[in-house]
Amino acid sequence: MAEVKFRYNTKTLRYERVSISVLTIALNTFGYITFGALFFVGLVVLQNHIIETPLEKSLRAENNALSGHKVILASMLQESNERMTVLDEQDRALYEQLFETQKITPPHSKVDKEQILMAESDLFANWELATREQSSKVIEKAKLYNHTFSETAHINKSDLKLLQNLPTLPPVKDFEVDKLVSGFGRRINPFHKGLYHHDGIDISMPIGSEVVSPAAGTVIASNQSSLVAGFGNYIEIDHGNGIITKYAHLGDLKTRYGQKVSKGQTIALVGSSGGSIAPHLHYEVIKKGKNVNPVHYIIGGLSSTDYQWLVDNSKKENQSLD
Amino acid sequence: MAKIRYTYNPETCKFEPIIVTPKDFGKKTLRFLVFSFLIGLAGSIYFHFQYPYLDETLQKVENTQLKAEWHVLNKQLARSSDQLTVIEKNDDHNYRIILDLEPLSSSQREAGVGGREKESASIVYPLIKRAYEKLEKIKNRLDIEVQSLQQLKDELSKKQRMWASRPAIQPINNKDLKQLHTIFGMRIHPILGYVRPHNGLDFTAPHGSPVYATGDAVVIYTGYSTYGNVIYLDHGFGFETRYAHLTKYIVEPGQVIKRGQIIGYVGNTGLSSGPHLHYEVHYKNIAINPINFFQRDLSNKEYEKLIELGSQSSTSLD
Repeated sequence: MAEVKFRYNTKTLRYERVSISVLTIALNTFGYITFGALFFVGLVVLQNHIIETPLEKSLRAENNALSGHKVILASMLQESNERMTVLDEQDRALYEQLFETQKITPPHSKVDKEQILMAESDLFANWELATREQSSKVIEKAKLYNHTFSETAHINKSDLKLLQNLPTLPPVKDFEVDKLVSGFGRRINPFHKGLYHHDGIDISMPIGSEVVSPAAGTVIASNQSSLVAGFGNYIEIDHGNGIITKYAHLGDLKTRYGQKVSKGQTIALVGSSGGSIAPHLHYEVIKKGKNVNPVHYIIGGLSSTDYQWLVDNSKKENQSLD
Repeated sequence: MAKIRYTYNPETCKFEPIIVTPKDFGKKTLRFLVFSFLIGLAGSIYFHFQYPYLDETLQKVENTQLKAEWHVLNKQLARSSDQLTVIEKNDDHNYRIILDLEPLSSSQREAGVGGREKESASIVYPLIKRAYEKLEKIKNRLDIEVQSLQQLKDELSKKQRMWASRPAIQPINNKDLKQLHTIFGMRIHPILGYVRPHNGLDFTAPHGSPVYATGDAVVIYTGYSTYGNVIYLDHGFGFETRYAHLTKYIVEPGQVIKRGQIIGYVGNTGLSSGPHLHYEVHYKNIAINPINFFQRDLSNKEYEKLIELGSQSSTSLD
């Protein structure tokens, strides 16, 4: 119960009732609200820390684990990526030592890099220019192909046989473009490291891989040789029209002299006989008595990017497997 | 001036001043605090019922954010793994085939070196656990690949020694060569006059032309016989070469020789009808026609480059 309060007025010399002013009420209310709010905040915080729902608890623990391990894992990943870079350098060094030349990345892994490059270039002007250039190139190419195709379309029936007998198939089963390790032309001899003319291409394959005939023909040589130099076991196939293909450093021979072979037939297995430093197939194409670049014939089952890579890679003046 | 408040006491019928004792003041303050506490409590209870899962929501937001970051981490892990796969594939499919080594199986590649404590063992969260396992796998594969590349490197240097020691060039410079007699096998001996196997090739060249070692080798014999002054070189790996009718030799048994190094000079010693070099190649003690062990179409410029290499390395050797 509130007490009634009085004040002594010195002027009137009387006791006067003290009325409760608005200010006093306001001050009181303000005090209660302020302290009330302080208690409220304190209580909410306290409650949040003390009272946890099971879900909240597990989430908190998970979050703690996630953020803690994130840092550890990221640093570990960085460490392993650094090692990867070192490894990549070592890999390149080994490649250079092995082939006496710089490594080119094969087409499939090249794609990613191009995409990243494209994404990074944000200059629209360059883009437009590049696109225009590219499209005009494509149109030119298309015109060229069109021309070639129209020429092919006019082939006589007698020429068809010639086309069919061209050695267009890769001479090994499961051929991949990065299996071509040394091309036609001036190459480094693996034994004395001097430059010499390499009359064929070297396709690196494991021992026992199947060597197939790239076109129909007749076997005109099938020789076993135990000599540690030269061609070793080798086969020659006459495809008619003055085209002969040669296969050297073979393992087991699967065909005899005079035998007729069809396109894609297995004629021998890959080996490392004769003067060879590694299991591989040495493949030559001889047109009218002259050695020509076999890469120009291998077009069967290859995409245009793969073929382009094959041609580019075969031009490198690297070390042959002899 | 302190305002003194009065209260009316009906018993004494007097106005009495109100004296605020500390006890009264304390009571008042306590009352104030209790009331405001009650207000705060009411508010917080209301708040709790209104937003019961505020904390959960906050944690959930953080959780989503963290998981997004982990998604990125996982992607980086996958990229790392892919990068490694490219190196491994190249190792298996190219290097190992060329160096004639068995490709490593995937179980071999993931086996690791062992002895490493597993970071993932005590973790219950599958997301973290899987990431650690992935990283551990990558680490193991890295270890194996490092070992593998080292093995390949060792194998390559072994093979390179083998390739370097194989007889692979002409023992006489084309510049000096007058004629190459390619008769190998049975023939009538020009001086003795009867059929006798000819186990080598004859390089006719002026008296005193330098004779070059055809591959890295160790000198095993120098001396004089019916072949005149001879040098026998052991190339290892089953190969041996012999150089005969020399006017003199400048090497001695036990000496290490590089390909292209001058070992002697053309002469006419022994049963010879003119200055020439008789050159033999033996593989596993059987004489093989040396024609298989050099390239006749090698240009002289290239040949001289190779000889140059031999003379350089011979000076740097002990």
